[in-house]
Amino acid sequence: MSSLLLPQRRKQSISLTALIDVVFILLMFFMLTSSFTKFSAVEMQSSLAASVLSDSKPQLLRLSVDGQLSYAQVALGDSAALTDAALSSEFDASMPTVLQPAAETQVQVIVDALSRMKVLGFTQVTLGKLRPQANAIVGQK
Amino acid sequence: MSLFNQAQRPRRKANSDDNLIPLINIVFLLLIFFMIAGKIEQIQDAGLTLPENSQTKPAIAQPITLQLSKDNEIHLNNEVVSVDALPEALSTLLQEHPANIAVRADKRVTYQDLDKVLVILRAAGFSTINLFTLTTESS
Repeated sequence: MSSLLLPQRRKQSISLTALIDVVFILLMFFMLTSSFTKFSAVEMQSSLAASVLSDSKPQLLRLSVDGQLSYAQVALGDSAALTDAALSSEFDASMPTVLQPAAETQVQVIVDALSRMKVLGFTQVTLGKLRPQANAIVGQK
Repeated sequence: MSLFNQAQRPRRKANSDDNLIPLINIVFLLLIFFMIAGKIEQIQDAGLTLPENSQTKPAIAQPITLQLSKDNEIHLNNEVVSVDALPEALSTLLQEHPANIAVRADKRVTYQDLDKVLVILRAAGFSTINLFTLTTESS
């Protein structure tokens, strides 16, 4: 009965123009909002956590402005840059290690040094406090 | 001959939509690429140029983010905070979140400025500090 009353519909294909409008809007949205930058992080134990992990005295390393690592105990003029081999043989990688960067060291240099230590197997590396006497020597140079 | 003509399917009338099909194919491919490869995230940028590194491990998003710009301006979770007000702001945030923090420092910031912030972070009781870097391809 109803089929008699209703006019017969012709089978119509969907217009592609409407579809592509929507797809273009979606494409614009995803192109503008998505980002492809990858972030990574260098993990540092704060001195608070490092002291809980170990009772022993931490190893000290000095980091110069140009990114060279040297013994912290030796006077600044005498200290030679440590190679990777020297670092792994002279220092215990499982012990807490404190880096003491010079005052003018840039974050890029610090990050490079921290990742170098990570590659060598040092797990508990942290940044130490500034040493006022070290600053004075750097300032004189 | 007439049989052959009958067997052949009648040609569809050329439709203007037919020309759009290759275009839609390409647009769909692009759409799928951006949907899968891209990542929608909040842009946190206070004019920072993060240090670059190829060997650090992928960053895990932290609930507390501290940004330190080249001019030593501090943003704590996208709000400008002065050095004096930082300990108080951190202690309120620490009550809500676990003791991990992401530090995004500009690569030109010197250690004497970074140290001031690190001292405050240590005093506030953060156990792990994540120094964020941009991942570059290792050469």
